[in-house]
Amino acid sequence: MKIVTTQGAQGDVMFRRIEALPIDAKEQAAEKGEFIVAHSETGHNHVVLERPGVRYFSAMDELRSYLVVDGDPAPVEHQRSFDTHETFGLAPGVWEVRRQREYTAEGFRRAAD
Amino acid sequence: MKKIECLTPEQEVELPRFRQRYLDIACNGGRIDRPALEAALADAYAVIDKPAPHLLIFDSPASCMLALKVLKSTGPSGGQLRGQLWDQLGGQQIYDANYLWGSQDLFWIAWAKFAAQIGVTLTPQTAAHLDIMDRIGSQCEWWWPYNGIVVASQRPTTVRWDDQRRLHAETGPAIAYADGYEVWSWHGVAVPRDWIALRAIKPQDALQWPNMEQRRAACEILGWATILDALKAKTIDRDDNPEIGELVRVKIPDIGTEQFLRVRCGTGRGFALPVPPNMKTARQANAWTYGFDNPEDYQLEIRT
Repeated sequence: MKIVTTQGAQGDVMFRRIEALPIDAKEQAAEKGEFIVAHSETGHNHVVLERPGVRYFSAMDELRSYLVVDGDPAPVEHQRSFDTHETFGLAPGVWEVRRQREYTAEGFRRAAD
Repeated sequence: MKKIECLTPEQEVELPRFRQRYLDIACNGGRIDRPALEAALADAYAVIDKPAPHLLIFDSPASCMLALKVLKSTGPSGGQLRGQLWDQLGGQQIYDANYLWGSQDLFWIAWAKFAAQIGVTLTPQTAAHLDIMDRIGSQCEWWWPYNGIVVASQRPTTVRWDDQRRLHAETGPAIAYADGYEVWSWHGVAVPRDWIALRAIKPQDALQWPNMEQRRAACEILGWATILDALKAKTIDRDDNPEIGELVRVKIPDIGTEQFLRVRCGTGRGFALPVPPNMKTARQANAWTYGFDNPEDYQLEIRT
């Protein structure tokens, strides 16, 4: 498995290593053993499996969320049986998770898939 | 039991045949053999000490759901027959996840059956239960178990795939049922019927469709060349890396000039993302989609 240490993208979700969590970060519980870092309308989520040493946070900005990884790298998996984006691991550290966006006349919106 | 590390040459040959037999059962339009399904359901109910259920068959999961809705809504006053059905359907569902997958469960049933065939030992009870699920899944698709009654759907009459086994058909529905219920799909992405049946989508609508997987499908159905020609697209900048992409400017009727990033994703498929009109390079536009105002801050180590 490839390991990302600074920046990596998996389809429409990008991971960027940062120094610290923002002050408004709120810890989120896993759903059925998974942190859904990018939810897909067509049912092909990008997820990080729940395990000790991995915590997931949301904040005010809906295009951003955060992961704290301790211990081993945390694999990011794309849940689709075809056209699957390859799994990679996030090195230990604090990660900002960014959803891809697209332009609209009013500003921008999350690119929905 | 010794772990099986590899297949014998005979098993290697048998595996794809075995898989195809089950695929054919699920996808080749076979009809329910009522006595066979009733017997399998009776055996399933016997496992949990319930009497054999009465079987109602409809042509598609959609018809099953419609029928259940209607039967449940009539209530006990709806005449004697409907009253009886209502009593049964109003009762406890036997399986709390609503319905079972029937022939769509054959993927794991076949997997377990093949394992048993090459020497994996199942307990007699597990083998017996697996056999019942196999017999049910070989007859119906989705099925709804209630006390005393089962509502079951026929399997589809048609299922079509592309070479990667994604639901796909270029001239008709990818899945069709006998009652007319259909699923239209382009390389695994569900799309409106008319896009495929009538090619009824305009280039400007394709590029502006809200869901980007469907937008990509629409662009592929029409063809990228067609869209860009029709809208007289002008290339503003093209990066050497197709995953960074090409910045194009198009004139969309009634909307005006818009810029799009045509980009290849990690799975090799082409997408179009609307980007702001002030973007000058493909790299700047690509960085913008991930929220970077300064493209220099956008330095991916890995893109998959």
